[in-house]
Amino acid sequence: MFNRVLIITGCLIALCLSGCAAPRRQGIPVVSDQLLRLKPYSNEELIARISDANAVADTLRADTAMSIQSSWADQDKPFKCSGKLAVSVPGKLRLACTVPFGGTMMDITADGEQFYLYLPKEGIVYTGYQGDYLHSAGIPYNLTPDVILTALLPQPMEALIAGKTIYYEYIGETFILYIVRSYGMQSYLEEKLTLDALTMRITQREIFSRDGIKVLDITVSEFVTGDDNKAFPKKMRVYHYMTQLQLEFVFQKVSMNIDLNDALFTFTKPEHVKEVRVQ
Amino acid sequence: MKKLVYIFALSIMMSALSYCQTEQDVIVEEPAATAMADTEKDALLARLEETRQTVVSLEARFQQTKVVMPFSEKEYATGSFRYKAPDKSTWSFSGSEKTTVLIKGNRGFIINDTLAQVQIFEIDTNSRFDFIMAGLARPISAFFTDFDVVVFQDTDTAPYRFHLTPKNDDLKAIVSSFDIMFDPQSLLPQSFKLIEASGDITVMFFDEVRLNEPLDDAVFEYKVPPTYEVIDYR
Repeated sequence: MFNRVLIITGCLIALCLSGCAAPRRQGIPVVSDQLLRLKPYSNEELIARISDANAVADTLRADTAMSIQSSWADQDKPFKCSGKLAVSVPGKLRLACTVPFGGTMMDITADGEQFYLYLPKEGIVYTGYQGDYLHSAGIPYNLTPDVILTALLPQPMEALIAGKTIYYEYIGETFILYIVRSYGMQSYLEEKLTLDALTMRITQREIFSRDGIKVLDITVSEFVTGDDNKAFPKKMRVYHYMTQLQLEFVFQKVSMNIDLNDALFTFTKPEHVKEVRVQ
Repeated sequence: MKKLVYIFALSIMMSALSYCQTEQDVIVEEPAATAMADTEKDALLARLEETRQTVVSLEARFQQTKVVMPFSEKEYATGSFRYKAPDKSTWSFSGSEKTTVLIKGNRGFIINDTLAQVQIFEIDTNSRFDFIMAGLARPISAFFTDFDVVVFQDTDTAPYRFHLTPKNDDLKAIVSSFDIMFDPQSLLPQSFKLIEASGDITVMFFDEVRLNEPLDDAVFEYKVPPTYEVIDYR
């Protein structure tokens, strides 16, 4: 009898948490005391389990095959290339797409404040503030560095949930974690993590705005593990709803938490290259 | 996107190249030498053109070293090159990412078996580099339209080095310099070094050259596998 109550209560909570909102809106999860009783772990245990299963880096260096597509940039076909990638907290990025003959065909730098989208074969560099959405000025690749950084450098769990409320539920073999931020009298679902309940590996991150709009959807698969047995995904798909930007990465030669020279995140405009400032 | 063609332009430029005698994978430093006089240069160009016209087919191995700035890491690739007059060529890269570039007339294909993808492009879509795309189909002097060219030869047995620098700012924004080394005996190019405005460096050497041996047209035939993604930039 007690089990039935638990199951029914769990179902009701799950419905409240995930099912009531419009497709791209997530309402604030409704929580009752029952939920607390359903928790198999304390918050500390949960954080520890997730942290132990998923690699989080301050720096990341990898080779990658990459696909970029955005309808806002009038791309009717994805752009694909092989590339070299370096990222570092806080907010530094270097991503170079290379080609079989010659060197780089696209080079993105974010130094923590400014971005530089350099197209060496065009002799042009687009610059702007790092968080700006690059859907203007005729930029052929609608890549917003902060979107890439958010996908590639998730915060450690402790930092992610600091000062926030977390709720979770099981759906089959999936474990879903809701991270709710409060400000003033209001709360909103900030991030929803989907994990494999067995391995506690994060397979999907959905990030929301304050008004409940889904901003970013990051899906990962095919994990590799390091010496510490923490998993890092070989494949990553990122969808940014506002710009309809879809990125796909397949990572190789991944190195994490290594020293990366700051020069790597500094762009120096070559002579004669045209600069276009994105407003 | 059309300027992707630039990349392939460089490849076809190299279709004029042939071989080298040594295995080198480092960036070559050019020796100091005296520039060839214009009359001597013109005579050399005429001899190169005579040689070019004798090339019916050419097969070679190549070794490429590439330095991608700002990562400053050397990347190595090897592969095979095939050319058949007047306008067919293939570059097959082996290594972690298997890529073939196929050129037939004005049409180019980049076949990436690792990504299961084919990109199709039209060479004429970027007229500035048409002369390069033409490769052996045009006189070597056609390469020089937009470049200042200085020719060096250290000794009588040293390769001829054609040092190209862009004439106009548009091209300077893309290429810093381009060097082609011609073997003094065969008068066929044996290596090249490209320095792009970005700082990227590409060096390629050729060896195991087979000249004017039968080369089946089937080498240049390609059918896109049904499972491959096709990106048509034409």
